[in-house]
Amino acid sequence: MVVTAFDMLLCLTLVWLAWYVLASRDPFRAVVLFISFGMLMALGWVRLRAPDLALAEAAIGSGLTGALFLSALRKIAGTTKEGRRLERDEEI
Amino acid sequence: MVNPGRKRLSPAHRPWPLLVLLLLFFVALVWVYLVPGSAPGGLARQVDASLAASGVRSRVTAVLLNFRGYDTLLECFILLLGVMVVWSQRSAVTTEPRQPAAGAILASLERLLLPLMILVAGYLLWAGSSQAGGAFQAGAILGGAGVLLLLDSSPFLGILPRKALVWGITLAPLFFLAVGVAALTLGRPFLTYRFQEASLVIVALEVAAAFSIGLCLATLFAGRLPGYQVGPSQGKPPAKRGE
Repeated sequence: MVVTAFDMLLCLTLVWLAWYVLASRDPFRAVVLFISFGMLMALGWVRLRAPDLALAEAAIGSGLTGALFLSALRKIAGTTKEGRRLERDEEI
Repeated sequence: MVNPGRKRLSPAHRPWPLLVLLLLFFVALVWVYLVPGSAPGGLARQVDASLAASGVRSRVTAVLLNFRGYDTLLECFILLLGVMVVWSQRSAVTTEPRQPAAGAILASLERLLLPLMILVAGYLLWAGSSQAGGAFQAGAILGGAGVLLLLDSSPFLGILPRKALVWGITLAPLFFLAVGVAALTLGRPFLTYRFQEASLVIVALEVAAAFSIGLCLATLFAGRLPGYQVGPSQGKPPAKRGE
């Protein structure tokens, strides 16, 4: 297994994204970052030669969980300050 | 997405202890991966040795559905439990219908993507016996197709008879359990297959699991129990059909 510069970049980007998901105060932004995190994580599994996990991560971890989060965000919109802002943003 | 109205992240709210934990975890993972000898060899050799007896050619599928079938059985039940928990939330609201304009775009997207998604799910299911793929991946794609339909506020889960939906969701766990119990009644340990029928049983299990997983995931996205009216009759259980 050769660790390429791309792998290094991928690892650092994953940690950086994970940090931004945790630190983000805007739930919508956190969800979008979480979805990107899942996509890059799937790439990471491919690099670790685990294509099964990569498929599952992309489809369930990123796609379906992201859709569930977005739908949950929509349902709680209006109950929080961020939610109200989210609703206004969608109207524009 | 450009959104100037959104507040900038304020450093005061950043969870610094989490960052430290994250970095420690990262260093540990890199250590385990890069330093030779720090991670044990794993069970790859054992899996390879008994792969010929498993009935499938993919190592992952052999582990998931044969060697560690018990774990997959429990995973199926966990998904079922998830749906039951969501359905028990009576006050959960359903996704409201979208604007007609979004509906038109979504509808054409659906026409393009849905057949392709079903095809890919079928391929992944079939490919699972020899290469990457399998029930969970195929089920996830089917679930994604269901979510796409639900986004268009297509009430396909509501149109389905309640009984068909419930049987569809419980198909994989029940079938899995039946296979396990059948082995018991034939005097073999729980969830073991005979070599001659292993391939057939695994493929049948995978088809059932993909179907149920797809339905479960779409149902999870739909939120509440289909057909249940939120309103004046709140708190009253929905009328059961066919009873």
